[in-house]
Amino acid sequence: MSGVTTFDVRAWMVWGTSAFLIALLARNPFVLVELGIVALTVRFACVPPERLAGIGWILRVAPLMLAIGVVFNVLTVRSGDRVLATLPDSWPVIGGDLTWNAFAYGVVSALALFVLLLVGTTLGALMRWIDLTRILPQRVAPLAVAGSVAWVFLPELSRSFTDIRETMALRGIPLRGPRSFLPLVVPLLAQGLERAMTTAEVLEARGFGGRPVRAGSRRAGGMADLALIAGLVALAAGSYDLVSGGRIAWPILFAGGAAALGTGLLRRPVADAPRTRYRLARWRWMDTATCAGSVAVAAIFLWRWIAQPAGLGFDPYPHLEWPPVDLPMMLVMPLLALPAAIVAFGPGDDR
Amino acid sequence: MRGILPALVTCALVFALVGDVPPRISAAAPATPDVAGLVVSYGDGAFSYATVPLDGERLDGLALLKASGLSVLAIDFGGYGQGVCKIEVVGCDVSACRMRLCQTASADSPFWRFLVAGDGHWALSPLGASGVTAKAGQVYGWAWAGGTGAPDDLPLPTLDEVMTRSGFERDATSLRPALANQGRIPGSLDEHPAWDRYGAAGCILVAMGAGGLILVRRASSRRGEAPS
Repeated sequence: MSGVTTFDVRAWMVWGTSAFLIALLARNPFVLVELGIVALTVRFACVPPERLAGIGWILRVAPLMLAIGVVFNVLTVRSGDRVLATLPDSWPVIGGDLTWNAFAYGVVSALALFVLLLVGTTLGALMRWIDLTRILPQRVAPLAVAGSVAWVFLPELSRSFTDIRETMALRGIPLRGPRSFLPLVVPLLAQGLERAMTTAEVLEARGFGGRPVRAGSRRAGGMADLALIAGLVALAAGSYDLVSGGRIAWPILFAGGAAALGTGLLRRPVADAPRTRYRLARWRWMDTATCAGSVAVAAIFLWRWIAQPAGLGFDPYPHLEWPPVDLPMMLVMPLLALPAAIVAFGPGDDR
Repeated sequence: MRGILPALVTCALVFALVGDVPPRISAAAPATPDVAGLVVSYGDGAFSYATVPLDGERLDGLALLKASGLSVLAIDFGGYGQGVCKIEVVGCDVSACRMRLCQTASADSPFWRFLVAGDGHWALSPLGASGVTAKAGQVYGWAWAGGTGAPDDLPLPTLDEVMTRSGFERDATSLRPALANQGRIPGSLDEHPAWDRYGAAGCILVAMGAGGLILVRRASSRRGEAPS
């Protein structure tokens, strides 16, 4: 038994969905700060050291986000009871009162963006692309492989660019101006094409994209297609309801749409090509605990958001006041830090 | 004597005619005061009544609302003028207002609508508040309501009634806006949490921070003990 604990990627997806839901919908500074603390805790406790990038760049980006959010809000919203300064009305677009109310709202918007970025980068460090590819249904596996290959090409392209540039410099060909890039682009393109051809041959040799061995019944395929269409329609309708301010229908439509899409993808007849797996992912109690905690937080958040939306928001217009406090939500949020507690005090990994 | 009688009759007639004039003038003067009335319905049986002196100024419907002393959140919609998001604490925040003027997908979803008192009824203003110039003696209405047309529960007082209900001082030397509320405005400020809730929230955040630090330190030490 070692001290390193790893979770199933599906558990992290559920955790990420719950955290993203809160970061996207809540504008209450207390809730956002608490979510930020949770994300930092999970980041530094659960991400393996070899994948743990520093948060220095996020902290460097934060003041920029703050400045953009504040300046945009202060210059575009002129309401509020606390006037900070007044620009002459003769100034087009930006003339008028600048208020502390708009400043406060800009700060909270920047905080929400920062927390969203923190959750996203934490989730990105917690999940591996290969693990995500493994859990995908067979039907979408080719798409994931194609995406994976394309993603791998980017660092290789960067390396090729550096190599060619150094070679040119050794031969006394400096890079000055757009014209001098021509001798660089041609070998870069040639190398890229060569790499693509090699990758295509490797994939072909392993049977990637071959014809299905067992196509399945036509009736089953038709039902799966119908489920896919119904799922997409439900998701589109749910998105419309969410954007147009609905509070009841969209969670139902999203849940129904996701269920229909999942059914369609799983029940669709696919090629009977065997998949080689060298390490089988096992679902363990800690994954169940992480999922249960995340689902509980998401459910309580949605309940509070529907029942008392003001408690999860922050509205400094027209009176600038302290934001409301939603104690039930704040008390349940620590459940999102459950993975960190398991890593710190759990029995460790026995995979 | 013969010359006196016609003179007296003439004088009496003249006085009768002249004496009739002052009451007509005094009756016409209060009928067109240089003020406009406002009725604001918050949709929950609460109303605000306001009387705003115009003082010869050219105010549009929104400026009239702001001049009444009510807190107003309005955002610019370019050539369409401004849209009202919130009056006092009733309405929606800026982001929802920018997207759809506080309305949701429901047909009964409320938004702030601007009305002008007509002959015994309220009429929706087709130009909106920014496109209407306030007239002296006119009563204007704002209603937080959904559906179509004017809301049924919006009272239609005369300007005199608005002046009375708002507590407007007609006889003051310098006219000042008057504002009075009737009923409790929904979501009023006294619904905000007390300071003990802020204390509790602060404690939770501090506990989360301290707990997080402990978890991270413990996880790091366990990772350090793990065989590489």
